[in-house]
Amino acid sequence: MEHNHEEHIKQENHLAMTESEYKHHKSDVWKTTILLSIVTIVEVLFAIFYEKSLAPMGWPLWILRVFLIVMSLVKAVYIMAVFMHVKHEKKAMILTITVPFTLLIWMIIAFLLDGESWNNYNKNRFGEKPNPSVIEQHKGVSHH
Amino acid sequence: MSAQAANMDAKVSWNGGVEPMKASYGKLMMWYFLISDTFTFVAFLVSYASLRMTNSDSWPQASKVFSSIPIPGLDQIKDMPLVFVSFMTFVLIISSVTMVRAVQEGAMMNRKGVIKNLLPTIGFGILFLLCQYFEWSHLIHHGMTMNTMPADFAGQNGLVAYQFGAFFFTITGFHGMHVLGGVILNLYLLIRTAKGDFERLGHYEMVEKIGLYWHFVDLVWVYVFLAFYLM
Repeated sequence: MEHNHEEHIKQENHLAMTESEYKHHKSDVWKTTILLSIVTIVEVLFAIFYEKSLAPMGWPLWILRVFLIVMSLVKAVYIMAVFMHVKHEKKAMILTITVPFTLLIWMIIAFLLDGESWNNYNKNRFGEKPNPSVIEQHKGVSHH
Repeated sequence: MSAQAANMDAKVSWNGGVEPMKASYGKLMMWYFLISDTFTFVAFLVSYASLRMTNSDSWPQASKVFSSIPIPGLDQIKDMPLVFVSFMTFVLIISSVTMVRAVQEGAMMNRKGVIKNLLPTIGFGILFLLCQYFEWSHLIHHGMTMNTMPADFAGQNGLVAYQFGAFFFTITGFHGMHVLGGVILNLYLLIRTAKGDFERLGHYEMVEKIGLYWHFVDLVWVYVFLAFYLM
């Protein structure tokens, strides 16, 4: 933990803000909280609604997935910008944080494509999956 | 620019004592730790997603696995999909809000305000851990462990994906350990604030740094929640 030898000297308060900045940031936080709550509720309701009503109607799964991913990105951006104060940092510092995250985009795409490729390897040329053996049918099943 | 002026600039920046990008060492290092931890969690979640995709027929539907409230007494109510974990998400979001308020009160050098907001943050953190304990214990009793699945969590093709437990417990376990660490850090913060250490020091930057960690924990939960419960 931070036990620097200058503790006996009073250090500068970098976070200091004026009364009006304080009020403004406080209201920003409450607005963001309400936004996050609404987004979470919408996500959960849509997930349940999709499974109960839309999937039987034939709506494809990727619509739900894309919607949920976009909503979660919205939440992440708001939590980082307002709660973690990133919006108020210097531009250079914002870049040192956000640019590495772009590396993750290719990582996610690459591994998802990999998974789908393995899915194809598991099928024969007619697109059929192999029938599970009797051993496989009981593997990993907990018997209570 | 003359050699003398350039030398003056060099002396100012490279001899130290100047904060790059107006951020303190501690805050920058916390951020870079959080970025590395993000990569760890993304690696976990991506490995789950890609393995699930290799044979999507035997994996269970999330709304079936997590369809009851795992607290003894309330677990007789069936078909409440995702209610409990949504509650857990709100618990963490509210704890993040009180943490931000603590940072703001610290910025205004308001010791009592900091304590007033750290207490609910710690309380909600402990509540989250309690909920996670109930969730785990309910699932383990049902037959889901690191290498088994109960028969009623079978996938579309009638097989159980016994790997689900390994992913679920490892990833939520890692996240839970991070929450526990955060609760301990917040307790440390509370004690130091109550003792008046930060008043003497002149700033509450420690609250901000631990606040960053706490928001990271909240964000990871948003994505764990997404990966396991909504997809």
